[in-house]
Amino acid sequence: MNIISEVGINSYLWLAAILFSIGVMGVLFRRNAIIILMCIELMLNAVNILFVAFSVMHNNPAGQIMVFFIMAVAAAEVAVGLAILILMYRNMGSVDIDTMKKLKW
Amino acid sequence: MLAEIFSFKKILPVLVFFGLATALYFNFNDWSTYHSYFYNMTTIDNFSIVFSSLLIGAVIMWLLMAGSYYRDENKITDHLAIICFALVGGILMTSYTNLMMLFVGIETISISMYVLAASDKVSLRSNEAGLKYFLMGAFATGLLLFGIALIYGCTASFDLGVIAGYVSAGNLPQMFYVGLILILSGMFFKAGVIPFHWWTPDVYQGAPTAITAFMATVVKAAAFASFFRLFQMSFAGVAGWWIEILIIVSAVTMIFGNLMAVSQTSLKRLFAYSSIAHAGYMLMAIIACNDMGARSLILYAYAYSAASIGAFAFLIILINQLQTDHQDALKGLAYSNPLLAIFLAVILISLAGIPPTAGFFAKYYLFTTLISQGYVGLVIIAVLSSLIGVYFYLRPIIFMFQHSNVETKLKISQSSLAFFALVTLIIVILGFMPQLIIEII
Repeated sequence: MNIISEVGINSYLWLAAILFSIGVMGVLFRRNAIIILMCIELMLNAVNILFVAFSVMHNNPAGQIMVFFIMAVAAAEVAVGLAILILMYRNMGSVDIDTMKKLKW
Repeated sequence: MLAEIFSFKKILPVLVFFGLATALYFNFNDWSTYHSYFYNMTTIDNFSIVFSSLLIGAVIMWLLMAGSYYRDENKITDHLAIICFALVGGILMTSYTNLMMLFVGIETISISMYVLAASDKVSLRSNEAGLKYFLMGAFATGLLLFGIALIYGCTASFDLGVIAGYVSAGNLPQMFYVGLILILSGMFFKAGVIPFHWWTPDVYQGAPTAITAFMATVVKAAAFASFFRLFQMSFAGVAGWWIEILIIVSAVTMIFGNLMAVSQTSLKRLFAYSSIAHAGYMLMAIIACNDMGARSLILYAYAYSAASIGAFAFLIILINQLQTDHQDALKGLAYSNPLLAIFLAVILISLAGIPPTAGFFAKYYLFTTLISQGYVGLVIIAVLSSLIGVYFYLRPIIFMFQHSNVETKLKISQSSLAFFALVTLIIVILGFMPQLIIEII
């Protein structure tokens, strides 16, 4: 039994779009770099939900493979991002992005 | 051609050099053979061969240049490994035929660049550049992926050919257009054009100069190669729809980049804004979206990469010896280092697009391509904005010929002079014989 035909692809689309928008809003309005990092993760996971839903809808496994790629890349990205954050924290004692004002004009 | 060995620190650059040269040779061996690899996820065609040769060639030049930058040998091993990873990502971006490979390529090059931008651990500026680049880059990746997901939802495939077939069948749902816009935004960010350009000046200024040189050449060329490939191979069918967005974006990018560069006193930041302006010109090639467009994009990318790697090589020497990149530091250079001043002048003239250099013929070919397709208004804007460009590119040359109380005297080794001579030679040869590149594909 195909779950997509019961729930409808639109619900998944809306769920992913809302999660993605929450992530975008977080990136744009939060000032703490760690929370921004988590919001980016939220965006990527919204995309993952969408890929899996479409993959089941089309009965095509490529979308699920893509999710593995995204998960692997997101893990690498977070590792690099946290490393940069630690560097920042050591040098400035804060992860607030408003403190980044060295580079202007 | 990958990063391999971590011992043998002394000979590592030489080893990487020969590895890259071998890769370049095998790259040309595939000429006109059209192989596909990884279950048709990448295809080697002439477009991708020319672009990956550009990337490999730029990394070789970078290697020759960076020798003077890396005194500390512990650092160069790590950096070389990451640079080679980035190169692999760049080559994937030039030869993909599947959106999955595009994503993997973009991420490979981006993650390497996040690390490299923040690699000067004690410098606050470098940390800030790395963090900004990372946050904005990861955000753009999210947009790109959401776009890919929506396109996948319509077409049930990541393959560029299948998507092109879907597009030409017509009757596209709303979702497809939303996905297209999100993909466009992601690509705009990676290529550093308006309205997603804000990271460029900060990151270019904050990152270590050698890394900035890499970003301005290899990353930029790879981003445009993938941009062009994506829109020519799969979205050409709805060209009428996205070309209008591209025309506006490219016009605004050229004007903005050139205008902002005028008011800069820091040379590094000036080249950052000039790279935004050049991104606007390269977008014009994507608007053309045919074989002529591909040729002019290739010529432009070669001319721009050669000139900007020379410009950044000069900045490395300047910053190493004087700890400043303010344009006043150039005063009197033409009298103390005449040979270097001549080479720098040729490089700047090529960036400004004055004959007989490569930059002029790249612009000329690009503009004629666009005019032959009827985009006269855009070409007029491009010509006008490159006139603004002439002003701020020639200003450093004027500074070099001014006398001042503190005469700048740079110590230049024979090998770096030879490097500048090589760059100048490439620029002039491409200027006199642009058909070397144009008629190749």
